Amino acid sequence: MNNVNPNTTIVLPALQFGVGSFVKLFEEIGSSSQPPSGQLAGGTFAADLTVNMIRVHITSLALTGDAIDVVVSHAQAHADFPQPAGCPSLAGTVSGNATIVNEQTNPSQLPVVVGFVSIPPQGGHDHQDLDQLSTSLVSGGTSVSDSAATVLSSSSNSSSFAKAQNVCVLPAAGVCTVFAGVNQFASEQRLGWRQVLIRPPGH
Amino acid sequence: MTDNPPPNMTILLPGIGSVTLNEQTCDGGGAPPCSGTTSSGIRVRAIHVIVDNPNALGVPQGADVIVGEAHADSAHP
Repeated sequence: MNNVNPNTTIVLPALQFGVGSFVKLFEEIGSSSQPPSGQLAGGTFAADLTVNMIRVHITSLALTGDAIDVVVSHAQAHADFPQPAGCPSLAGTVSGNATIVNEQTNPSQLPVVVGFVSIPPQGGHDHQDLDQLSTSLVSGGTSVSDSAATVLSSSSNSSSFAKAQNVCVLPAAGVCTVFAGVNQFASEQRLGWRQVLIRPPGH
Repeated sequence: MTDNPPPNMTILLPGIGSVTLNEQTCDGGGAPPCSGTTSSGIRVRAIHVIVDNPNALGVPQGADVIVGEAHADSAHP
């Protein structure tokens, strides 16, 4: 596998490694902060991001009972900026994400997550196109995952969708247990002052 | 089957488990439309297969497979 999605997690067998043990690939741990709403000066905008290429977390190794946490290739970044006078913090926050395939099995079989996109609390846009799907349990044609959101002074909106063609789930002897020609399921939300509008797909 | 299954349509898969089509849930619980005065969110899954039986496919019991998932939420105090 050449590329993995952020925070791809493989659960390790509890018998050998203890409950809650895992291997995490491309682990991303991020946070951001800003002045309280309504404050116009004297605050700080800050953002932190930690990336671990491989993290092995073992809670209780068989026989010895050792707890182990191994990180291979670690990068960390921090940025902050003083609040300019008259620059208000964001009034609202958003989140959004979309995934084409998410498989959780025990034991884990890679890849477990395909086509994951997400946006930060301040809004933005993330998009991914895939020519074909191929995992241990799912196959399919082209797919698109997309997430976008904006935060304005009086309202915020967030929308995400995942779309895949000719999806075959749990194939057996050339027959799909579940088959879908085209799927598009959007999840959209808009939020303004004292008003909420939710539009589930098909409405 | 229709191209647009109704929300949370569940079909049993004999000897395997079940599949839910157009699964919709609100953040914090409840069913759509998800509404709130200051925050709300919704998650939609096109296909959600739960394998809770030993089966001839070789798929581990307990497997959880999701195809096409989208989530959005916003908060505005």
